[in-house]
Amino acid sequence: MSVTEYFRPASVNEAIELLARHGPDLLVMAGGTIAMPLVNEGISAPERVMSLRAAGLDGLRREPGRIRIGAACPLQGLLELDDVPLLQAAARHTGSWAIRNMGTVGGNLFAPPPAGDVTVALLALDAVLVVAGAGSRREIRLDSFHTGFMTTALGPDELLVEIRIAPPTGATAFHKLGRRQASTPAVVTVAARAIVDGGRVSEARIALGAVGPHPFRARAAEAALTGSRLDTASITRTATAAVDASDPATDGIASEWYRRRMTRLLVERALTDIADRPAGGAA
Amino acid sequence: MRVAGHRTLAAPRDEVFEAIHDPTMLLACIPGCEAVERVSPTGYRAQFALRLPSIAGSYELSVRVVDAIPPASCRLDGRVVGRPGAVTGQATLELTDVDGGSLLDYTVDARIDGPLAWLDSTLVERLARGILEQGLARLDHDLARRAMAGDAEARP
Repeated sequence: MSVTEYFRPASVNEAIELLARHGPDLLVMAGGTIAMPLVNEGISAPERVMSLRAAGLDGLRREPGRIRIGAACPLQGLLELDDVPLLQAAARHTGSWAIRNMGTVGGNLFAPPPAGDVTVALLALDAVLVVAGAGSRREIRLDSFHTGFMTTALGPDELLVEIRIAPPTGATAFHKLGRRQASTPAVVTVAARAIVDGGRVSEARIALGAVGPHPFRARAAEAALTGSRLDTASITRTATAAVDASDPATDGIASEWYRRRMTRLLVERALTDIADRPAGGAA
Repeated sequence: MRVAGHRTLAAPRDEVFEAIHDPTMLLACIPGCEAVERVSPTGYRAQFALRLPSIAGSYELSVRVVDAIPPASCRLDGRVVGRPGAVTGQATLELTDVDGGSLLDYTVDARIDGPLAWLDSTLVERLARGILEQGLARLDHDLARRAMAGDAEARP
């Protein structure tokens, strides 16, 4: 079993047409950093492959009030976003240089846990996804995109084309723990954002990765933080809510027990970072 | 591989039993299910297209009801075959009455063959659990909708 046809559509419309024609047997590949290891090991044995490399989805565009990230924009591209330090930090902590040059922002949304660090940051930024199908185009909020482990709300004939964020308001922090400093799957990944108004948190986002079937927002933790003064007691309460919201698995990287312990620690660290510099945005 | 869990379904036990004992209804709940056919009095076959990242492909699932004690339990033998490999196993489904519906306990014991078995076993287990849970959520939804339609038309 080997690849018999390789498509390299030159536009989104052409890509959607190919997807409609070949259905679920068509392997859609952006950077290939998830797909190729599986193909090389024989786990994924597609007959037909479609590369999104030339489909014009690699752009990173700024418009007033929003940033539009093409689904096939390399992870490395995020390092240009000086005004979104949260995404810069997430990109810097994802894979290695080689992976960041090949791997894409859109692809990261499909990476099974414990991968998917950039997705965690995008969740904390209220990202909205644009997906296109044959003759249709719709928006999905990232926090309702994942439906389970490795499954998403993307229809069988749909393609993710763009990720949209607004320039972030408030202070942000990103923390990832791996088994080594770089190029590592996560024990846990935490992205936090808080708007502090008159000494109190008026809006909070706490997103977690590698401690559930997919990256998710810990809403109970966000609620625990909202209205608080970001003091030690509220940070502890928020971290407890985040641990309660997590459902980690034991794998080759870490045990479930260790992941819970580190979730608490990293949420506390992220919020302490924000409390120390509520006016700034550096991650 | 063993996947076990439970889910409360908002329908009486005999209705749930009828649904899980009739694999045409059960299989139709699998995300991406395209066709279900009955191949023998107790055997069923289904095609489903699961759009997984990096592992494209269609899968064929065959199920045989091996044991049924209405409305308490049901045992199914099944096999899923796709390009990345095959999963062969047995599922035990048990139903108990609870407030507001019935509790479904499920246990699946399965063997993974082919390239799929080279993957981290946690990954396949979580995938199987995810598909099961999504399927059961859909079953719950279908049962509730059927009950509402039944009420509306005042059928016995």
